[in-house]
Amino acid sequence: MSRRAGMVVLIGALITGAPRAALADRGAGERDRETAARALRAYATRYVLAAAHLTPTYARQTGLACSACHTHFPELTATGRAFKLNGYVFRRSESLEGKSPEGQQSLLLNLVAPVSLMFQTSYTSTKKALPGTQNGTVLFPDQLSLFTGGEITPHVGGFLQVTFDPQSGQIGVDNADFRFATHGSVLSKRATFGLSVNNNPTVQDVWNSTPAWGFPYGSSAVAPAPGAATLIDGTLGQQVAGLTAYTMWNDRVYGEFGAYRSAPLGIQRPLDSTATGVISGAAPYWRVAFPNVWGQNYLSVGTYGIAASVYPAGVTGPTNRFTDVALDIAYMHSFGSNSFTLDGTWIHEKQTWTAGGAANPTNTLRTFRMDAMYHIGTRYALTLAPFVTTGTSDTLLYAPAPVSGSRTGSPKNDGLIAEVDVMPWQNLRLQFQYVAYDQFNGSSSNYDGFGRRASDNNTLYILTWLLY
Amino acid sequence: MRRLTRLTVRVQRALLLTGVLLLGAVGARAQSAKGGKIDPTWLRADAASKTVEFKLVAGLSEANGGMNFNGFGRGALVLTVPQGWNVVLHFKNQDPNLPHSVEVIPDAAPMPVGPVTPAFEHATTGRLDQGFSAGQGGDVRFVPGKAGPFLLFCAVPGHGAAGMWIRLVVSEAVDKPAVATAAER
Repeated sequence: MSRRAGMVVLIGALITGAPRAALADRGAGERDRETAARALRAYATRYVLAAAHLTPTYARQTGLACSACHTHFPELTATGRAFKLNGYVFRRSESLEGKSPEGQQSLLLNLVAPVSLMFQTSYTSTKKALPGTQNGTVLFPDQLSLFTGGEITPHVGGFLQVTFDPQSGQIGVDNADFRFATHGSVLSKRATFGLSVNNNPTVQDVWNSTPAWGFPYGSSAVAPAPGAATLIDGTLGQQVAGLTAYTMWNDRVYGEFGAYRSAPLGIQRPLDSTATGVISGAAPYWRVAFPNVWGQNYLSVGTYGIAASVYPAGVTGPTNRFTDVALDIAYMHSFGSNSFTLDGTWIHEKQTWTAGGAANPTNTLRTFRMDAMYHIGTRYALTLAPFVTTGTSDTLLYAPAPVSGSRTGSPKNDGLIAEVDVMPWQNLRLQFQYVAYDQFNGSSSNYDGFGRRASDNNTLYILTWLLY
Repeated sequence: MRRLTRLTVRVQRALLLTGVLLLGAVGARAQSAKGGKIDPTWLRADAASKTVEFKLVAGLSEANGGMNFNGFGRGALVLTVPQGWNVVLHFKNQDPNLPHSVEVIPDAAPMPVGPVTPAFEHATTGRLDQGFSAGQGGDVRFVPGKAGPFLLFCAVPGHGAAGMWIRLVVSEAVDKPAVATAAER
């Protein structure tokens, strides 16, 4: 989190036109505070999207190569999905076992320390430099994270990412998912039942078609990014704590329901009038998916969503309402050692600005993303990923501002990501990514009202990603 | 003197019994270390129709974290069938944690990471990448047309490489199927 705080000034400058400004649009001081908080969330969002859902910790616990659970990390295979669904408890390594005098097992500790490290370093270049800045940014490190987790008891396991901020020298909790899982029989078919406690809606999901573990798996933290994002699209990451209950029945039906409550990091508790963007009560979350397998094909289609009433500032008074309903698809086809995967999602958000903060009383925001990835063995992957965001124009939410604003008040953006991944080793990844924008914050040319074109934000991002 | 002799006999019997029990315990321990023991009901053969049926259970025990066939892995179980017979594998996954599949592949190094072309036509469960979850399975029917060493291999990526494979020997020399244990590789 401290890394995020350290990036607030930069990111804040980049996203001053982001939609969540209205959450605390009450005076310059509050606006500044909210801008910082929003920047924090925006950075968290980007950070989460860029973070990896993998860890050599699990490889050490299971004795399986990374490729058993991932096509190219963090995309999960059937084994990876099963491992997560069953509570991260599958184990082949030796354990320290404790028993009560009655012979009942009371302790099961992995003899291999459940810890691993992620180190990323990157180079970012935009087609046109941001005003007043040097183009060609090198981040060393780009990200540095410690992972721990795995089996805690035979039915309880977890995933915890702790991130070190090289600039401030502090560490903070990143993604976390702890769960309990067991099995039973329903209508003579096997069912898995579980509970998850986590800090980011969809971080507990086992498909890569939902936001927390969706493509792009690594993206630049310094390149301009479109400001508009739906609530479930990472905005709540590390700002909430949620409890969800899930079941997978007969490998055909997955259902999950739960609720999230505000639990932001790095601010005073209990939450009071100084807090911003606090959820009133709890926000219900739902997820339903229907996976199926035939031949060499795997397909899952589903829906997920969240509904939250949010105080723009403080913890009392009127709230703004955000209702996100999303569809998703995950497909895989195997060609021997090669495979093709396709993940996509469409999110529709209805915003009701009862507490003010937007020019319109109600708005909509829609996001569509899809990535088609061809995996050549475990060493190479080629990806094309179109993305589109559309929504109601709102001159207050999407106001003109250099680079990050919108001249037209429109949140619209669309473009294409092309990526080549090379993995000479399963825990070493070289990523070459190019992001091309057709429209950015509503226009192709002079989109911000300060003469910048959408294509000026086209970004080359080269990432080296180490895990050990 | 006679009483002493009786005592000696009792002691000798006790020692013998203890020895037998100890040897049995050691034997059981050794068998357990191998990963399991053979159940005679796994194999059924009909010489008239030249058909062999074999019950193949993935994750039968916790050996190798459940990544085993009938409790065995790394080639520690050998199924021998006569060449040209009809082979029926009744495959079922009992592993509560992971999906599994099976296919017959040639016995050649290195061990594949995932699915490869099966050694015989139809010698696969299908769903090789995704596997079958607990309680699921299906029959695999094929005719081994050539003799040689083969593997019954879990093709879910990473599983075979982690030791989830047993041996299949197709032989011209035998006239009935058999199942036996062997040293792990």
